Amino acid sequence: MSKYTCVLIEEDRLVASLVGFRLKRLHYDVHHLRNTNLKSMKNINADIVLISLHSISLNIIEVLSEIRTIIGSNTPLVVIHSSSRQRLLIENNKIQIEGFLSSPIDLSDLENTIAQLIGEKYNKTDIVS
Amino acid sequence: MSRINLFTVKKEVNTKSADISKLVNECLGDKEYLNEIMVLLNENIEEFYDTTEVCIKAKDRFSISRGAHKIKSGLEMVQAPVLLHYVDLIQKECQHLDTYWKIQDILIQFKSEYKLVQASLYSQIEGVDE
Repeated sequence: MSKYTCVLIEEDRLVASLVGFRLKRLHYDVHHLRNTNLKSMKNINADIVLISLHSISLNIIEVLSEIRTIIGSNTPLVVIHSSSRQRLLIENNKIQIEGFLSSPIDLSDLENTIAQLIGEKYNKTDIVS
Repeated sequence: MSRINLFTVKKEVNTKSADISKLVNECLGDKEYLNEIMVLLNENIEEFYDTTEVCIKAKDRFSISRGAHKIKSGLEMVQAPVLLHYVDLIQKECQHLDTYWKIQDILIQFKSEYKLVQASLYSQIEGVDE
């Protein structure tokens, strides 16, 4: 039985597969979206959302704001960025982001980050990756 | 007094075409899954070839650079330094206005290097203990 639902927005199928492989092993239910067609996200009750900035070409801030509106302020949003400039841009625009991970992604770091954020969301201390 | 001639000291060069150890770690040593990842890597690379060929004809520098960027994560996973160097070269050439012939040349070199990398990866996967 799946413990938590994770939405992964990632254009690269290889990276998405690896992330899915690791998270499914930890009994997460992973919904993979290949692009930022966010309409389908409205039907998923996500516990956490991961987005790789490869999937967005130009309007990073606009897309992240839209995701935040859909998921609300209680669901953690984790950004996978490929440059510090992208992170700076997001931080300067004061968008609520709970976690930043740099590309190429370290899957053990990802597991730990997700476990920590889910733990904080549900005020649990016994969630281990 | 001994002298070191800086011009004759050889730098250690990374000559390994690819190294699967990081990926094996991320895949938790699952050999079957490693082969699935190889299929995805090959698909990504084929897509990159197609995109680049089309975009060279269309003179679309932005899409070439974006396509090159897309394969970086996969190449970093399999630690292929020469291929990553070619990707960087392609992205640098995309900053110039009309050097599509150079991009074509780099792509040809990339293709021949990828064949070597591919063979090396399959042989490394074969050697993974389950």
